[in-house]
Amino acid sequence: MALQQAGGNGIEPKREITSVGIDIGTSTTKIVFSRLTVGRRYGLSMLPQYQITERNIIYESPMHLTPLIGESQIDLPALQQILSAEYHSAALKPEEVDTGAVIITGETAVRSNADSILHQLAGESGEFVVAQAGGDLEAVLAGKGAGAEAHSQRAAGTIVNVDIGGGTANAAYFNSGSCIGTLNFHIGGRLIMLDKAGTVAKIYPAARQWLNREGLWLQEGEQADWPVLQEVTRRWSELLLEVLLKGSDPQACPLIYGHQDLPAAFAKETTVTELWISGGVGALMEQAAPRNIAETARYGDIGPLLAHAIKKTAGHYPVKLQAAPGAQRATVIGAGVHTLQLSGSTVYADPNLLPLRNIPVIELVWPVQAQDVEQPDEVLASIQAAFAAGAIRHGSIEPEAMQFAIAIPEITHCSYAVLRRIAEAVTGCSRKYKLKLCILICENDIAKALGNCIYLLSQGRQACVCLDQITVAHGDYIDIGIPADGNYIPVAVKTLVFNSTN
Amino acid sequence: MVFHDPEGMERLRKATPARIGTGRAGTRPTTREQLQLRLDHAAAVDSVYGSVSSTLLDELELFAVDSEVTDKELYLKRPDLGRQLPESSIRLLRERCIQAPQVQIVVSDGLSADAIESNLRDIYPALLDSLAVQGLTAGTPFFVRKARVGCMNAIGDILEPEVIVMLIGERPGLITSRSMSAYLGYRPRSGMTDSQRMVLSNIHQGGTPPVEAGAHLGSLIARMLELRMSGVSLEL
Amino acid sequence: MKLTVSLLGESYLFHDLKELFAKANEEKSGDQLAGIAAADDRERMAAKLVLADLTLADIRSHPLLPPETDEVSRVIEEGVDETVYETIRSWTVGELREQLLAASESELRRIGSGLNSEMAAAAAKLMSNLDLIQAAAKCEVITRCNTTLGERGRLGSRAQPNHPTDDPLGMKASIYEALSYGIGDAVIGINPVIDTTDNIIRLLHETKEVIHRWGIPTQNSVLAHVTTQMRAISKGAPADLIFQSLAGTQSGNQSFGIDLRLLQEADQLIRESGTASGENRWYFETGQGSELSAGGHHGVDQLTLESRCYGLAKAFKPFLVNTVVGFIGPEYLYDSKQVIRAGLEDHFMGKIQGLPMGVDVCYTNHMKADQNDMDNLAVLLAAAGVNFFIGVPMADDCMLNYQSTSFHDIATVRELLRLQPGAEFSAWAEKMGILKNGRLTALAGDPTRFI
Repeated sequence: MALQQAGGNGIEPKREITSVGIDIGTSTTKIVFSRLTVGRRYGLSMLPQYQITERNIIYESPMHLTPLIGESQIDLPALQQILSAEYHSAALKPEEVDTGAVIITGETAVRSNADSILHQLAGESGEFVVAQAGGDLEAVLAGKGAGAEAHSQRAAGTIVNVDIGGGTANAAYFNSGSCIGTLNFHIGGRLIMLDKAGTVAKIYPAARQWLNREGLWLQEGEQADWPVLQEVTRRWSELLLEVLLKGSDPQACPLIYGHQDLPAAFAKETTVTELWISGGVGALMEQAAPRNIAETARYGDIGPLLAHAIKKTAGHYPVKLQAAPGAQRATVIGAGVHTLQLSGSTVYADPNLLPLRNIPVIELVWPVQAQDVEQPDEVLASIQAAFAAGAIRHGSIEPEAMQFAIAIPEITHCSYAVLRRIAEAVTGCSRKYKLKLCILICENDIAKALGNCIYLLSQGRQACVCLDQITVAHGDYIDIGIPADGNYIPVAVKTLVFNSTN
Repeated sequence: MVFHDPEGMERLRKATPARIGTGRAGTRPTTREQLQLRLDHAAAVDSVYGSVSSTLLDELELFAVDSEVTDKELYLKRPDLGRQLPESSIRLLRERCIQAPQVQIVVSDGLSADAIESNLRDIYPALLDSLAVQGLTAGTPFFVRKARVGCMNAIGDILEPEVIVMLIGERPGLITSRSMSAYLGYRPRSGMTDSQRMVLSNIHQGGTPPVEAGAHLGSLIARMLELRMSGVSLEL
Repeated sequence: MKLTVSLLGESYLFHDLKELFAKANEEKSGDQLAGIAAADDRERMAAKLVLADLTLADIRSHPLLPPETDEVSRVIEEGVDETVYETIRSWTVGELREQLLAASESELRRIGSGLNSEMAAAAAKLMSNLDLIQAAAKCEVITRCNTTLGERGRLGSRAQPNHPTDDPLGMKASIYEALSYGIGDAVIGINPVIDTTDNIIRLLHETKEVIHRWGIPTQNSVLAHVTTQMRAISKGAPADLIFQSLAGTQSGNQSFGIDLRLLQEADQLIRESGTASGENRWYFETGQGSELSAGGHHGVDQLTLESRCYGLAKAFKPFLVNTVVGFIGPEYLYDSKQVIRAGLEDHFMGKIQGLPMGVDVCYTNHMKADQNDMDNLAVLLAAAGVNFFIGVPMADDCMLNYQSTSFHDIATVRELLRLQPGAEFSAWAEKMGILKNGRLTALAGDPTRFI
């Protein structure tokens, strides 16, 4: 049957967003520009809801070698020059770029000036471009950029996408369209560098320590021994796949780093049906296997050998292995195309208070029963605890300068009575800590009702930005943009973790 | 029924509220599925024939009037009667309501008493909040038994408000019998048509949360007052 | 033209054909709502008796809606085979009924081509339910898009995989479930929630993707407004069929945002840019009461207006016509008795005018009807040779909030009356192992085989 609707409604406002992704990796730097289309999610008689309906890449840069000064510093002027040339080639000006992300990945993230460069570039690259770093984030972005996330929606079982670049291997597990865990390894093609003749040019500290422990002999300046290189890449592949596919305890793996966003039992219970490899090493899997040192060293590192060692090892597992489509650009595509979130359209925010940048997120934790209106004291207690945590972590000498966002997790049934209790508690706490601006991120679609309630309770005196339907986690930082046509607010969630590799 | 890919079945089930993966007995549904369907239908029918309790109306201080039709069967057959008010109701409205308010709130059971019972406590105070935030004033709210949406024209003729917002029970479905709609009209008077009104539908706990719907209505009303119009051409 | 009769000691006068036609109908709440129904059964019978003695020429020369003011009337008049009409114009409506019931299949087809929509409606008004079944069962209407539908011994089905947010996986989940019961041979057709070009393009691609992946002999359709589909097709989206809801009057169609010219444009577009191979490219939906609901009934009864929809549809040689019989609500068809009657009437009137009639055997929750009534109507229609039914998971449409026929129901009716899906689809289902010798196998009912 058909709904018999009147008229061919020709009103279809096209909403497009231009987004940039910049990936500064251990070995290469790449840039993509994409166009995101925003569409309405429900029919006309429903509360408006917008979502990104299309993601089209409009320009991809070639691979640039990441410019370095010596060993410990990124060469900022050289990098800026590369970027400005690419904006020119794409026929885009930074002010025409609405959003996007600059991500510093792999070994590059440990360069001494990584943090400041990241923020500087983010500022220069477009209106609402954010800085990103961290292995977990890189894993997720690469998996999204490679298309593993989308594929998992249709495919049976769990898909693991491992982005293996020069310095790190970042794995993300996807099931039914969402990421269910990440793991990061010190495994990468460029951790051991070779010159054309097969002499070891450089060994990064992460690899050095492991080689020493394993008693494998490789020395900078000396000719590399072909069987040793084969052994190194074989053992790395085994270590990697034992954790990813066999469910060995990640804690026991000597090459793991960062926090493991994965319970130990998890990998055991999960059936990984497909293994995708993205990043430079993923791309190398498509090429012929190296037969000797000279063929291995054609890119100045052990990448080709590692790619084929993984291919061979994966053959021992009941898993479908494939190089991710567009392997080498997975992370940059992920950064450029998947960073932005759109809030619900019914939110509470005075546009004059926006945009807001670098707001830390404090997650509120409900006690088990606190969603129940019968437990008003516990609702109050959890909200007070969240504000206290915010004040301790992000308080400063000037209380007025204190800014943080409280993330309010899901409430099964948000009745008006519950809403009112939350508003009362928030208003009280904001007054207590003299917050100039109270920022709330709700999981439920209640932001506008909550904002209204706070406005009335504070008699209009408490400035408040209340958003919903944004996924954030404790420790994230968020940038909140200016409301777009349609009233949704673009929000970029940043997870910045500069891992120390030692 | 044993599925070839049980995990896949779960993914499919999660992706839709449709009744899939139900199995069969020969070509017929299983007993459980068949009875579940009839049970959901029974709930929907009860909701059509049910009525809103006086407890709820008293709690929210809404007084009640009848539409031109008091019998449910006739209400279903004659939507035109549900759009009219009898002399007794007109008199009561004139006696008890503020004349020519900025915003007139009207509640009706419509096709689902359940919708009002389960959502009004949440949407109504959130609506009052949103009017207050927008600096709008509401007239005397009331409840009309067995009204149709078009009844807002009759009410408009009597009370002459700038805007009417009518909260009314939707035709129940099997997924939920508790869905409510909010209809909005700018200066509704005799002759106003559907296309000159706006509707926000699917308001229930599993759809648009009633508190957020209430919060949004205030902004919509403010926009209607600013543009001096309502209708499908105005996006929600 | 005689419009009076004396009956049981009372005399009845009908002022014009409109009044006579309306009062000769079986009881319908929609005619009562319009204020044109017979006051009681006696008046109804008086009207039927008067109608039975009118000639077909009387009806043709006194149009209910003059072609000068209504373009639907013009299309209907142009569709009448004048040579045939000349041979039957002197028949009374009573004779027409008898001729239709006694005629051979080929004779029936010939008579049908000489009728206009009002004559077909007039015959229906004099027929009992069993008459309607018997006459319709003799009309075999075969149409061809990618596949062939309507052959004797076949019962087609539309897979209707609606989802409250047009979610791609959710929609596909319902398609897989349908396929696993042998449903979807007539069309895989989704009602979109969001009527935007981009969304329609996406849904056309997604339905087509499933069809390609499994090599299913069927056709796709997205039931958006015709103008939105036209924009999507112009942008290259793959559509086998183009869809539109029809009303039986020009003003009714206006309220749907369509007119004859737009339909002709769409017709040209789907012939030039559609993806189907066969010549029948339209999918139309209709339903008694929609003209009154849209304020475009002009005092004509809902049965006659429904028949006029078919006269209009005929001009476009559709692949599928579906009367959505119980969707509109109790103010037009109050209870199961009225729904069953309307389903049989619509099917007959469409078939006699040469249309590939399917029926959405359905009801809403505020009607006095339930699933048992739909069971009854489905069996009656299958006996009458209906071309297709609508298949919805467990009969419950989670987007449009009404109940129709389930995959189980269609499989049951097929088994009961020894009917099979369309020939190409049957062969495919046998190959897939879902059907064996036309019956569901142990593999049937498992959607996960299509993931």
